[in-house]
Amino acid sequence: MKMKKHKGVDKVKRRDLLITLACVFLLTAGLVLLFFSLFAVYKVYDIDMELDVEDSPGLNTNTDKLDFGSAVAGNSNSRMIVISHEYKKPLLIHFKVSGNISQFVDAPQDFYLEPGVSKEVTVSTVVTKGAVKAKYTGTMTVYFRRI
Amino acid sequence: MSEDLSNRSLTILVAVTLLITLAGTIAVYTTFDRITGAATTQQAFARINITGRASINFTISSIDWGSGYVADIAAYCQLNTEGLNNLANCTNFTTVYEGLRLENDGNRNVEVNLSSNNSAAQLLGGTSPLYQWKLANNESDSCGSKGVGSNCVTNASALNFQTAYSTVSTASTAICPCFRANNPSDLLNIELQIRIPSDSFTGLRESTLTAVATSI
Repeated sequence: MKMKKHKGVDKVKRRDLLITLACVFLLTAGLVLLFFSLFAVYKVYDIDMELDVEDSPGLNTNTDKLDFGSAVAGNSNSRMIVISHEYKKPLLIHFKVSGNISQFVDAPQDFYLEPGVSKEVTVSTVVTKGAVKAKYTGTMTVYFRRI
Repeated sequence: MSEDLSNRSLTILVAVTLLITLAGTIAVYTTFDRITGAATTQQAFARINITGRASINFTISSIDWGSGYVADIAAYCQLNTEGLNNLANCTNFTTVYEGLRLENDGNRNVEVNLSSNNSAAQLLGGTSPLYQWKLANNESDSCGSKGVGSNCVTNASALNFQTAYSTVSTASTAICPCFRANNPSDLLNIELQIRIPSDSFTGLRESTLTAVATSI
């Protein structure tokens, strides 16, 4: 009878411990997300990117994504984006490129942007020799960071 | 009693955790956004616009005349991308039958400007060098005149530098006012011609042509 009671108490204690651990984990994650969103980063945008490596070059001026058109080895293609913000202080603009297109993309350098100022940023791709003919895609993430 | 307090603490902990996690998720959801085109609903406080402009750089090295030299008896050697290779004057160069092709891959008609990063004197040097381009519609009616709005109007003479080879420009030069986006009328030819003087520079010579397209 005593054995049974001990087992029951242990079970309750173990359950409480697991719930506490789960809560601590979720609490930490939630606080990190809150800090990230409310203090570290003002805004984040994802922009889709696309490049076709082919035999002949082509231009694309569509504005729904950063489409670099077609390129052959040794050629470079560029697209432009205009960035601005109206936050009360300057923000640090940071770029990150992901996906299989990233091997060809020169991510723009970070820069500080004053509120109310528009800056044109050029994003370029350079197709290296020996690149396999294919459609390459990815995402450029633009972070508006508080400083 | 002690067990009751423990349960109450645990309940509060779970409630606070859920609240913080929910708030964090909502905060991240409103911070992250995706550019989806002209009809984007970006916040007024931070904006990114993808411009209707694109450029492409061709290196002339992708046109491969190979290695060679001007024959002893000649003052110059002239080559172009339409098969010209004066064998009496040019030694060991490869005959090239195709120039550069430029396609409008998008779905917007565009205005196109072209420029070179160097002149004949800068590229080849020597006495009376030539570096020229000539344009053509690879697919008929690819280049037209600007019409109403963003439409193109058929005009066989809208494309510049069609009739004869002209000296390349290092300044951005309008070549086509309305380069169509729709197949099968969206392809231009850029033919190139060089005259290499007998006293020209030696070694690898490179030039880059830049085509800039702007949506109309």
